Amino acid sequence: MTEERVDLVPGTLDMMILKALSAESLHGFGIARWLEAVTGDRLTVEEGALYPALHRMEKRGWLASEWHRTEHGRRARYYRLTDAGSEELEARRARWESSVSAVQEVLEAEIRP
Amino acid sequence: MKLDPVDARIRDEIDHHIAELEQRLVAEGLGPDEARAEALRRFGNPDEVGTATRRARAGAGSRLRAFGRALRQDLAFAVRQLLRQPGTGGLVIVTLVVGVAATSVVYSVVHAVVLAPLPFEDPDRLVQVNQTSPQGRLYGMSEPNYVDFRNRLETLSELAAIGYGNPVLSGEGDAEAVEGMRITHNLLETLGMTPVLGRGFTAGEDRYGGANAVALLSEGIWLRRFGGDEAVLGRTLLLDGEAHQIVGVIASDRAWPGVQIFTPLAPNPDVYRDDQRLQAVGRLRPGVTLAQVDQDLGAVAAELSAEYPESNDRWGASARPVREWLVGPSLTRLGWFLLGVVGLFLLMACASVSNLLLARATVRMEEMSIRAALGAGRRRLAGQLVTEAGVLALTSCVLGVLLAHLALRVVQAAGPADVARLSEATVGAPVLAVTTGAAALTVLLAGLAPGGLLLRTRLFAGLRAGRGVASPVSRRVRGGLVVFQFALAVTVLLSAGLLIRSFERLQAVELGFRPSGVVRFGIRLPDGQFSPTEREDYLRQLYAELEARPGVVSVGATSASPYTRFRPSNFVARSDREPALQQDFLPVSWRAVSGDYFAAAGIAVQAGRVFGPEDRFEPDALPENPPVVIDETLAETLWPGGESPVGELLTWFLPGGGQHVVIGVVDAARDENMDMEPRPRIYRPFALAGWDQPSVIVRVAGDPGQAIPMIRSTVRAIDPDMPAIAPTPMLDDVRESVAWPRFSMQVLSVFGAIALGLAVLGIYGITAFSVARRKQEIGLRVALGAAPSGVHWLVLRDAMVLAALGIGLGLVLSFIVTRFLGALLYEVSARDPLTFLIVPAALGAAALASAWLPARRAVSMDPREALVPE
Repeated sequence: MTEERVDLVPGTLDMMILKALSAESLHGFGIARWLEAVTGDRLTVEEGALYPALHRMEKRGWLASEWHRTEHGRRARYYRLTDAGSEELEARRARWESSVSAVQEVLEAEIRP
Repeated sequence: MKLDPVDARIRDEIDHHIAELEQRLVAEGLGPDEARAEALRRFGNPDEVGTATRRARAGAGSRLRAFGRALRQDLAFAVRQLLRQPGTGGLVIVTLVVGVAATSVVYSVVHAVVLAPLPFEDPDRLVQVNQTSPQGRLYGMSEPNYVDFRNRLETLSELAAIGYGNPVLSGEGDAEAVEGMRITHNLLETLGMTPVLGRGFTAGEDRYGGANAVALLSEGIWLRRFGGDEAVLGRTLLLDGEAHQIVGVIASDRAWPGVQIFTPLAPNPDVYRDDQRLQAVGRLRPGVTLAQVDQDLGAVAAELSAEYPESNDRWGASARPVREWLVGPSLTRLGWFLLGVVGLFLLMACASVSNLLLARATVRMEEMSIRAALGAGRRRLAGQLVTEAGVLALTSCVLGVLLAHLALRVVQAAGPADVARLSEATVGAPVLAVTTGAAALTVLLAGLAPGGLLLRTRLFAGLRAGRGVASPVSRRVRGGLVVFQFALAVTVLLSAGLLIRSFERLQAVELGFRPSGVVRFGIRLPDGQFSPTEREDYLRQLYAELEARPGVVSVGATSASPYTRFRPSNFVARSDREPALQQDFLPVSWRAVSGDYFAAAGIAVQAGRVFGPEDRFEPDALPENPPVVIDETLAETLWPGGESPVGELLTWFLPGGGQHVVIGVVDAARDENMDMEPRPRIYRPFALAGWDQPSVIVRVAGDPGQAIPMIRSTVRAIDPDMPAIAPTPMLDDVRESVAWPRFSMQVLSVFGAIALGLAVLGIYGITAFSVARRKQEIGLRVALGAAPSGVHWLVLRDAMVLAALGIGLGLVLSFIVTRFLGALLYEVSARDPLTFLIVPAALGAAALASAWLPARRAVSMDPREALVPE
């Protein structure tokens, strides 16, 4: 772990979970592993923090879930994106990108001495 | 333990996650214990995660549920705030509760007494018709004149008449006098009333000498005394010893509270025309105006003047709306005045509340800014403000309505009893809607102010500037409110001051008689059953029995006791300067008296003598010049310049009046209107002027209230069917006669005191707040060597400028408002200099005193402490 670890930007966890589920159904442990793999283990997030987010988004209708057997034969709750969830992901991605590009422009603006 | 399915699911998910993590860590080469510890470290505390998850689930329901939860939290927060800092919230609630209750009660009273629609059909088309004397005074109608007017008027569809009289009801347990009215058969039709039960009177029953022995009951007595039994129809009642058959029940209690029994008036067309005792009420024909009625009345009056010159010469007639007759112009004026003041008072309470809430808002801005910075949505913050304001408004309104109901009971118990409509006052829905609406609107508007300021200010400015953000705007608004408070306080206090001064003058009035230690009661001696001599005989026996009782000092009787509505009038002139026309006679008030009336009433004799045993006459042996006693006003009017009237002759303008000899002069008794100079008065012996219901006046040595049972039993012992009617200490009558002035004075005094308190609180608040805000500036000045007196003045100046502006504005407002008060004041000008000096001075002093304390705090502040930033 040579790279610098960063804290999660508040409000982005939901977006990342939605992204994780956009390709396939995953259980919580699977989402944690996916995030770990994608970010190269740079994000410090307590894995338990996934669960309040998952349940909240399910309640809002962005996710659906059901019990399945894992490859290890354990019973696990698999989450998948609903149509509302896909829309939410796109909406959040658009907001995030526009906000990042705005900040980016500020940071790259030339400042006269 | 049985788990909720959701809890079970969450637990399973967490267990699964940790188990997978552990297994993976073991696969990476950790020992089982290390793997367990590392898995928990990465996952976090499973219990906490479980709880957070459950909460997230519960919180993420529908929007409605989210709103409900926010509302619950806000309510709890609002209540906690209120309890933690009861100061402002408590003051807001107290102010609004008092404002709502006081306004509602006074409005309800005024509404019931003055404004409520009269209980008649289309009351705006009803008029009361009066005869007018050549001097322009209003008089009732005599029976023959009434009959002529009724037959001849064309502009009125009906003209009905009412006479008063309280018959004694016997044969139903103890005999008692009941309040009664004699009415013409067309009265019910004129007013548009239909009997609740049975029928009204027929024309035949209303004919003089016809079958008049019928009666109507009021709905009130029918329900109370006869249990609402329909079988009362056809029953007979003994009224003044005569059997009357009950033919109907009418809902008359709202129109004539207290009146229980109605009998036919049966006007006598041939009795003399000067006895103007009837009240006539008519209904306008469709399309006819009041002016046309007056024209019609004038024409008929002119005909009657020509036909009966000896009684009707130069007498006119006029009509006025019934409301003016039943309510009276001065009560109406007082009612509107009270409403105006109460309206101002409500405004003042609202201004005070706005001031308190705005003061709090500036402090709340800080909290709001922090919460907004921490990510609370603006909508949520606004929601919280609305909830807080809602809690305040709801609490104040609920308590205010409760207090209003209680206070109205107190007012009804203690208020003026002569206006029985007062007992019907209820705190109605419309007034509560207005008062609570004003209170709620104030709280919401002022309570939301921080929200409005928050939306207009940049979010973090509030944090940087501390509590200063809102100040420029809100300071000006609050200053304006303080000015407004002082202006209203000046107006209410000035009105109260004028009424107090007026009432004091009224209390100090020289009555000319001594009401303390006197009991008065009525006795019924109906015309049909008593000849004048029999009346005298009965009264003489009554006096003897009463005077024999211990404690009784003197006893007499009069045709009208003080402050009753019977105010008989007539016309007199000096016999040696007798004018040719009645209009040139002097209008006087007159009384028939008997026994030791002057001693019992406490009226002092100034010259000559009063009636004594030598003034007894047999009806067939009347003296040529019967004796009369006059009061000093009449003596000075007819015999000015110190001439003695005793022994002089006086011509009395009445049938068979002739010339009377003045035997004495007595003090003027102010027993008709306490707030008016007494009219000239003439007294004649009772034997010469029979009266069917005289008032007996008993002066006792002790407490008159204690003597009443003795008086009742003594009177009943003479004749069980002739009870003492309503024995009352005369002081109660005197007090009752000024009940409205007293009531209005008390109402305004209470309002004035509260207004003063609110104004003082307002100026204290704004000064204390400004001292707190300018702590650094003041500290700096002191540190740089500013004189304490200079700093003191700096702080006081702002407060005093506001107070002075407010007082000035209030004086202007008062000049307008007290104009309407003028007619209600007794011997006090509506521009009374003393009141106009004392009230502003007192308010100024109060303002100075209440700004003094915070100013002192500013001066005594340690500059080091002040300069340390908060």
